[in-house]
Amino acid sequence: MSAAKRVARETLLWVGGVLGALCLLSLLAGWLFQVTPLVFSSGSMSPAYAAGALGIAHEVPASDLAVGDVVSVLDAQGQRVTHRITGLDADGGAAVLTLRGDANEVADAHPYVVETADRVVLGVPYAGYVLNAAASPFGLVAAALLVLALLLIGFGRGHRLVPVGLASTVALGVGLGASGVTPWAFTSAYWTDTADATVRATTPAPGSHQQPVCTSNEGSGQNKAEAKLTWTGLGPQYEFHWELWKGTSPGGSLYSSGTLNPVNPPTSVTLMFGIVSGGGGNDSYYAKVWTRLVSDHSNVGSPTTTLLHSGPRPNGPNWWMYCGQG
Amino acid sequence: MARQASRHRGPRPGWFGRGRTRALLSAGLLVGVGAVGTSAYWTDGGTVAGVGFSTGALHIDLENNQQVKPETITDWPELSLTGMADGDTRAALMTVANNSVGDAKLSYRVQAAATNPLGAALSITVRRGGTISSGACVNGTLVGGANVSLDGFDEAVGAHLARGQSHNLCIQVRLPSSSGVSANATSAVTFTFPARQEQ
Repeated sequence: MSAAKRVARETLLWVGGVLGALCLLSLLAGWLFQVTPLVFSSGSMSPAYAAGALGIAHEVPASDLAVGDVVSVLDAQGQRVTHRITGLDADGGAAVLTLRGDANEVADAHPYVVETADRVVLGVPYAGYVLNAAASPFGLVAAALLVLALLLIGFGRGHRLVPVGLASTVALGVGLGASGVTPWAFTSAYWTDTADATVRATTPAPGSHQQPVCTSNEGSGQNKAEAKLTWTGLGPQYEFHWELWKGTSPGGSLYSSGTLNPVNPPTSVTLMFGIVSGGGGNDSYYAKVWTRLVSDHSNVGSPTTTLLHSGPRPNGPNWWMYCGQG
Repeated sequence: MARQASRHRGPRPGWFGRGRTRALLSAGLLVGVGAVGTSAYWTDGGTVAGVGFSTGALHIDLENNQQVKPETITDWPELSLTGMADGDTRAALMTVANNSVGDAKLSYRVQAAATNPLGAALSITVRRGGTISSGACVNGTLVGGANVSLDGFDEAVGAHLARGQSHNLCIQVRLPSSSGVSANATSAVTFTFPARQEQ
């Protein structure tokens, strides 16, 4: 055997042996110590763990977690997410985690409730690319060829254990992978971004009611309220205060007053005035109406004034209230 | 035999002998890689197979903005909510675009918040791909409910945006009749569009 061949043989055996031992050790470590290698498939944890990095995570109970830890958890969709803890609320044996990627300016939209989490303790840059490539069909074929070559080198051509060993190795690997006990995972360290728009909303300035419409209605009998004032209601926050004055605006004497409950638009507020006993005769009256806030009964704007007068009922002995100056 | 081999092949740890141990150990590579590869294909139904490593940056942008961070449109001019009387409806179109660097697909949500009693009274309707007709949003796909409370609105927009794609969101704000909101009331209304990268 030439020196070059020997060096090549030794190199291959060493590389294969070390890689194989690492693989077996990582499988063993995963099972024995709950260690999970994580491949970062996206870059929101860069520069600590860039896309393609391999992180080594160790499962710990929620009580061991602290703000600043990088943890790998499953989101509501079952997708594995690895971000840094920015907020933590202990909730019995569980913890409510707020996570944010280092490269993200905003935290993940929803908190994660966990009882355990895989805390990332170590990161190896670019190793994820290697693992991903190794796990590809091409990588598997390459690994199979390498192992076949090494078995042939180690045990010699024609050794009957070689094909059997190769087949059982492949079967073991596929079996482990299919059973889901392989302690490894791809993790999305997904990016987030946000944008917002603000708008200022306002309601109109307080409006007092419009000038009431006055209609004179002749009824029958005495003391009927016949001068009817109507205006459109302003909604539940506005009540109306009224005063009936006897005399000529703005003087005279206060005759009666009251408050009307709020009315929603477009329904009208109705206020009716008639003659009370002893109120007869040709006289001037006027009605003032204020819009008031229900909240504190304060006046809004200026009152409206509607002129009224009392006069004799046509064809009758009685006195009535009419719209206008008379 | 080990000492003999080491004499022939130069100095190295004797317990590795002729290389059989290393050859056997190398089989562990196939076990490991096989397990990893199989679980990748098996457990994720192919979605992880050949996973793409995405490097770059995610950018969700509003209107004509290009990769603005942090992004806030103050007093969004399209939507006027001033002087809202009971029963008033206002609507505007918001363009939401994925202007990411690198091949990043994104999903996003529409959130809305509003302060004060006026804000508590406002209702919202969001339609993806909707249009404005008579001051209200029509057509498109309803995001969340129609005329639901604006403050606290938080709904996922069902469709993903690939890089370079955009949505027109029709956003309608209504002050219900008989709202009971006093005159001269104000509210700071904020629409937030949090995005996350999707594989």
